[in-house]
Amino acid sequence: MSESADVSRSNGQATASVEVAPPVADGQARRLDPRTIQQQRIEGLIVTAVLSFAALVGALIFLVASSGSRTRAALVLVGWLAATAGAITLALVWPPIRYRHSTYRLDERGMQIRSGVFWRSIVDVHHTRVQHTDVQQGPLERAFGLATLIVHTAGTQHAVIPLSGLEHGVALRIRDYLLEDDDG
Amino acid sequence: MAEASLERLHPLSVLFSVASAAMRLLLPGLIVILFRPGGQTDFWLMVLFVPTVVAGLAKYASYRYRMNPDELVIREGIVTRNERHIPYARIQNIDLVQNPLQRLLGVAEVRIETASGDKPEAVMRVLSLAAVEQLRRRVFRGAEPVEGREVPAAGAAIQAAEAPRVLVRTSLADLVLVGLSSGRGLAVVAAAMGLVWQFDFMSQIDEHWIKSRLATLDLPLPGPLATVLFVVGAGVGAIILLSALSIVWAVVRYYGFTLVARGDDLRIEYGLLTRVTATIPRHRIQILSLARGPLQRASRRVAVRVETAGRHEEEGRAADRLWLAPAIPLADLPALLRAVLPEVDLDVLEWRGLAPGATARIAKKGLIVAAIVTSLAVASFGRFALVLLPLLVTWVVAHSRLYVKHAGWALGEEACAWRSGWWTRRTSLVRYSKIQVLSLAESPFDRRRRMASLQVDTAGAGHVGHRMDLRYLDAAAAGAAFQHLGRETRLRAFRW
Repeated sequence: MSESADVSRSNGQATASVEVAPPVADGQARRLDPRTIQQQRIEGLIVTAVLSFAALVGALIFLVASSGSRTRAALVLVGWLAATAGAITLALVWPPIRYRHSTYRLDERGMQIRSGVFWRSIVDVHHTRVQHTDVQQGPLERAFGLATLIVHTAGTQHAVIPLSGLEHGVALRIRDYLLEDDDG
Repeated sequence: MAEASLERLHPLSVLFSVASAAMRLLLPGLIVILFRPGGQTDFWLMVLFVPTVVAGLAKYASYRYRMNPDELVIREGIVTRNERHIPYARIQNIDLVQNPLQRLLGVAEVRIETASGDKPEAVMRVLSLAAVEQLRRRVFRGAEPVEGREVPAAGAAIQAAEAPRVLVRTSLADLVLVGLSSGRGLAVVAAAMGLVWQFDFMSQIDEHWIKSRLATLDLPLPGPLATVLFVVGAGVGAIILLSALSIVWAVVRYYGFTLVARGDDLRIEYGLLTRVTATIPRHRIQILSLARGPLQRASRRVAVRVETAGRHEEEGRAADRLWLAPAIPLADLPALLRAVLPEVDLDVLEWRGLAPGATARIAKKGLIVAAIVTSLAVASFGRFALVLLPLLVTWVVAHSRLYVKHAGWALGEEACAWRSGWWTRRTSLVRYSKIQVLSLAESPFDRRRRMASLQVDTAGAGHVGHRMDLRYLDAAAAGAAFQHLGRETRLRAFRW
């Protein structure tokens, strides 16, 4: 895989420090891969479709069972339409907002992940505290060439730290970086 | 490798594994006896118990363990052979549990705990005490290189390694306090109440029942006064009974509680009937917590507990076994802390409080809840439920003030500390070398007030423990602490 190309793409602003080893750990705050926006929109739409279908079935069963009036049926239907429209809008609008608020940073000491739009957080894991890592790809992620990096620590609430929306090659290189010269 | 021989469990293992299986079959066995499916009680009992006995025998026959120079190997199973290798360096602690029969016979059940999973890595039921001692020496002496110890105190530590030192010996009076503050009696009564409800005894207790009881007592008092006295007397009696039960529970469970330090190991022993011996290597302590409820404060005592990565909370049972001291006089605390965590000094810590607006925010949250509760009460019980409002408001205001007054945090040389709670006040310590993950979080409400919350995650910070989750901090201070903790964590390698 062409590593330097991957890094400059995921970085957004191609840095000169790409060739310096280790390439991913330059202390720069990096954005996720922009394709994650599209991928999350599709994911959101799929979830919306499933939920709104379930809601529609539920509403129809309710209407048939309660044998309500026409106005009630119309109200339920309008409510369903509004909720579905709202969910679709959210599924389309939310991913870019979330994208803007998510960054990660690697340096010689470890990894920091910033996330959250309203409820913001920074999670800091040190290199030597990493127990093991997984790189996961769901079907949709595979289609977009993305992956989720999962860092496992010996902690309790943060025993599992997921970072999704990475380009697959970058995820693999971060994994290698986090695991290298680990004598634990 | 060649010198390590395969060992069997103690022959009495058969007895105890059958006995423990029989305990598990008690309920199905009772059902069989009570309901007699098809009238063939004997047949069904055989179906239940014969496989159990055979399984017990088979387990004993197939179970072998071997102490290699750096790992414990356990082999078991007849159909599916399973060989488990547990490196000594991964063993967090070894616990011994002896019920009265096992004590009489000089054998013990051994639980070996590592940091993984939800249950002990291996349970060896049962070993002779000599075999246990051999195992323990192997695990904790053999695997620990002396120079790798985290305590730099030179001469003293090496001398301490030779002579075991008693750090805590809990007196009967201390156990009475433990019982009183545990509220265990309440659990017993709750269970009893459940039974009573089951059999519908409660429905008989009404005014007539009380009056008929009173009639048998034949008190020279007017009716209404007698009723009041009776009810009050019953309440006082119940409290005394509860306390007595709690005390009995604590004394039976923790009788002869001692904490002995031998080199790097802390050894805890307690129990009147079932004797428990736990060994915790000192460097494997993840969190040390002090707790002082109102009773402890009044008697100037404190409970000290530790969390290790290997402790698993099985139904709140293990939570009790984390104690270094269920109650010690406050005056003895510094000596205990020096012995357990010599690198940390509680007295020199500079405590810092929460952000100035914290009281208002906690109170606001409480007031919203109070308003909702009151309006629900008014909706369902009528207007007189409005009385609730002033009571709840007073409580919320008092609580938020007291909470903020007693909350705090400190960053020391080798460890950070935090305290919270005003009814039961807890103070906990984490060494920087044990920090796993740091996180700094801001909610929208935090941002408006320039606050943030800081979380320090360690191994073994269970659900019941005192977690380092500092909310309502000043944003700038929290950010600086986050950076500071990050640096301190990076400077120190993590060892289990």
